[in-house]
Amino acid sequence: MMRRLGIAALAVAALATLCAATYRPPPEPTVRLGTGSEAELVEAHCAACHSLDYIVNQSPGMGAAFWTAEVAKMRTVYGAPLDDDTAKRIAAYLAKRKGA
Amino acid sequence: MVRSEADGEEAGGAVPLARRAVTTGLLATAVGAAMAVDGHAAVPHGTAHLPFANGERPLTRFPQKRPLILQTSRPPQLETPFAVFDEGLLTPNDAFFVRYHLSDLPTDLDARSHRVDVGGLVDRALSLSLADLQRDFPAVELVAVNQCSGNGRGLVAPRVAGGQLGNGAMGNARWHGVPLRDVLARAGIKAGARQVVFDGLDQPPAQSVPDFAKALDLDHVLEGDVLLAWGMNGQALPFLNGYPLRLVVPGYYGTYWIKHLSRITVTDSVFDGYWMSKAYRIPDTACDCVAPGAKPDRTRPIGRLNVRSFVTSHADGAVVRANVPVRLRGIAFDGGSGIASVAITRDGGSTWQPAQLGEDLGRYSFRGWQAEVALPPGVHAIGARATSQNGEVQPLEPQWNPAGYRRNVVETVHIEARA
Repeated sequence: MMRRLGIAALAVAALATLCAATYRPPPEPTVRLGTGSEAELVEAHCAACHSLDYIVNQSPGMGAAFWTAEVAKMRTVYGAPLDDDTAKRIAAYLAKRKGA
Repeated sequence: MVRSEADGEEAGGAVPLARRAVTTGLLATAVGAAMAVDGHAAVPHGTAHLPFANGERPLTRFPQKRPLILQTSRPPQLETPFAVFDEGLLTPNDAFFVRYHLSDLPTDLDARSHRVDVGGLVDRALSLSLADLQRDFPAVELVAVNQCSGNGRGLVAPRVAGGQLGNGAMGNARWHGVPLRDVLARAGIKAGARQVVFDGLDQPPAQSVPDFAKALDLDHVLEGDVLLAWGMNGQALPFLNGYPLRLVVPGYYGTYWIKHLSRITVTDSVFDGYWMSKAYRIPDTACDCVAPGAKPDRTRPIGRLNVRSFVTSHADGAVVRANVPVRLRGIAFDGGSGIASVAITRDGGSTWQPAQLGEDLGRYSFRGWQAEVALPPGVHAIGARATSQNGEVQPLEPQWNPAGYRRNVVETVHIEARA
């Protein structure tokens, strides 16, 4: 299945890789969940670790249990520093925002 | 040679910095070249409409990439527009999908100083540069599909959490590199070795987030075609596909294809990192599935790709002339046994018409197929079904699991024939 490479192909492949590269990501698009203090609370906490399109792109109508579980996962698996009250408020906002 | 995209630089805010970086790099080194892979102004290049609720996504350019379907920007997840798969069997580097888990990307990389360390249960720990790999081991090339475990997740019913992808989180490339087993032979594997753990330079945004590391069984590594690859379709890897070195695990889901590969560790135990022991697991049942909405009792790590096929010549909703021969074209692949046959149905699976297979680029590659049909007036639901060399057949009904992995149901394309 593997094919040994000829000298010419090798040289091309080798040359092509011996570079330095600096990666500059494009500016992050502005994604807002909504307006008001609850939206700002959610945006501030969630966007600390990931862009908000992670939230916006989820299916509509997943319901409160889904969003409670997602927020719980962020705390228990990824160590998001949220107290119980903040976690509840975030889950409640997302369930409402994304449809029950 | 990979180059920075010239167009769009004028609009990019980071232009002066980028040019300075290029100049500094050139000055600092007598040999080789430096480059900046620039971001572009975040101008959307249109909107993609994935075929499920809430499936609108901006088409956005990232460095070294043409406009792709923006799933998430931090960390970047970019899906390939499906029409690309009709351009040829090899997916162009600038259209190849991107999937990161952790947002702290290694933004400054130098292929001349990059090293991959080989350690753990070995006789001799190694620290190898790219030049070492290219000089000391016989290079090989191999065509293989890299597919995201969650490819097509947005089409899963009932819907599940995770990246809401269409079917474009896959690609087929000719990979250049050296066999991992040759490198491990140089290091010398000690008795009692059981798994090999792979880690790359991408880092979590916070210390509490588990580092992204994956493991393969030693038997797989010694018998399989696993590569340490620096080349992709005759060019260096694009940054977002793992520059300067990535793991290529033919026949296995992309989760194992560690990018910016920096550490290989031979262990005497089964690696229990989060991304093996908790994430990327499938039901440990005969069908790898459970009843929709159910939770599996036992799970195991995801592994080989299942068999899939797609129509690429016609998008859903395409219009053709009635009663005139129409050539349908598409691709098929599986986890490495190779494609035995592809067939077409126009009646929901009651009858099947065989397709002709195209050029064989190897058992891990996309295999092209084509079939001619003449359609009477009306809307036709066309399905393609592949059978692999080891006898696996695509199901007519979807098989569900909680993470939305391994979708391989026969997909349907509606084509309207007009008189």
